[in-house]
Amino acid sequence: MMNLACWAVPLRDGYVLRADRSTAAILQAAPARSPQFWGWRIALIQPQSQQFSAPLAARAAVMAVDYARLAGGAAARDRSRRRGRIMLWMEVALGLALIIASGGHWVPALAGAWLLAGRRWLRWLFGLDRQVVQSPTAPAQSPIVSSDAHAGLGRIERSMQAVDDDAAAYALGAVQARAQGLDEVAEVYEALAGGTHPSTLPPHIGFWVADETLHNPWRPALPAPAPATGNAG
Amino acid sequence: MQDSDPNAQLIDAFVVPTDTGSAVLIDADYERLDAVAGPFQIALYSRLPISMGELAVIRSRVEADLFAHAVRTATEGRRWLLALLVGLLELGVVGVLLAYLFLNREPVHAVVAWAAPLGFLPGVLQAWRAVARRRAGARARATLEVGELLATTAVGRDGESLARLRDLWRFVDRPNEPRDLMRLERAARIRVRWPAAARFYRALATAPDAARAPGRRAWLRARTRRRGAAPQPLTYLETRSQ
Repeated sequence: MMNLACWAVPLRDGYVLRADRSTAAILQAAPARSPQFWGWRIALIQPQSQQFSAPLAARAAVMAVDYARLAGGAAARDRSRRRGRIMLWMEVALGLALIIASGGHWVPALAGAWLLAGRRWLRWLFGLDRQVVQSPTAPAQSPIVSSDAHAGLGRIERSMQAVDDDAAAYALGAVQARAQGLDEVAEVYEALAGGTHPSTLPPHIGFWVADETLHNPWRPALPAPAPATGNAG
Repeated sequence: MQDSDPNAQLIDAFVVPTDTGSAVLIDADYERLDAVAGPFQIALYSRLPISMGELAVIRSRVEADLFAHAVRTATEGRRWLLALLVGLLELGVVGVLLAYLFLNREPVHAVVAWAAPLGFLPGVLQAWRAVARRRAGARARATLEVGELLATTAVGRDGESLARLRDLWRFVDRPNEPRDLMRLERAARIRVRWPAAARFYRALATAPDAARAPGRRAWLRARTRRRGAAPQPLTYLETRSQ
């Protein structure tokens, strides 16, 4: 199974679930791996507070990971591909120059033909440049969600409790998270300090789950839908 | 944390001191890990307590780095004998061409002779790379096929690694010793003789965001670095503590 991490960022009234940035890289590599490893073992990184409910957060954690899978997209084009294109144009230019300058003699013409097509054709024939076989993936097993306490997250939660104003508490949380290198956590707090309600957070920031004490157990632990932006009339 | 799995391929993670706290250094050569011999497992060397959540983040980041490296490397060295054959053919073609240019000396041929390496060198280098990297490619393909990172973290017990880490911390613990990254780099290089840690500190010193970050735990500002021009990757995950 793949070891994934999902942050449960503590708020005033619940948690925001957000997949760790390593999730996208793990899921991008997944199609090249054997299908027997296509299961998800998600570690919920939480601040170990009394109000945290792992069963309640589990569903949102799976959603956050699934969002990272769907939004991950193609891997960024690397430099080697660009360099390869420059080399290709150089080979083509030299190959053409050799054929034109050959004056009918077979040696430079052969060298030109080799550069233009010969080498590439042989490599294609032998399958030397074939990429790793990748097949579309979906979790082959149901995800296993466990929760693990994170000391840094716990410290942030405790320091926020001492501040009365919500926005000020989230701003403090953002500063502390940045100081500790918890960039994903800091982005959540920065969005909330800017006045966004947790239920309207965009999915790339995270999925909100209310506290178990505030949550209606008969309602599924789904984030509230985003408000409509267009005018009805 | 527990003892390591007897068949596990250990990936060493060290909690090392930095100028403002501590950091996790993953000193592992992914191309030497053999997935066929057993699953992968992180072996942690730390004198500071590490919470389970922090361990889970380290595990997730290492898994991402390990398999991304395997995907990048898996195409290398495949069918290396055929690649070698193509490379030899390339050398034959360039040899005949240079002989022709040498025997039929004309001013325009001098230009072609100088330009020829630009066109032919990549093919020769491809063949050389396929032969040189055949083992790394095979191990990467095995990692993708059967590799798995265990969900448990082992306690690092290698005596040499423990001694290196202890010596590094002992240097930091000396009273009146300024704690800056270049001093730590020097200590790692000269006193402890730990090249991976020395490279780690050099990279930290040149990373502007890491230098700016204040103390406390800047957990897992993940970065992946390669050891200069060498094929082995040096992966480290940085964390800071007070």
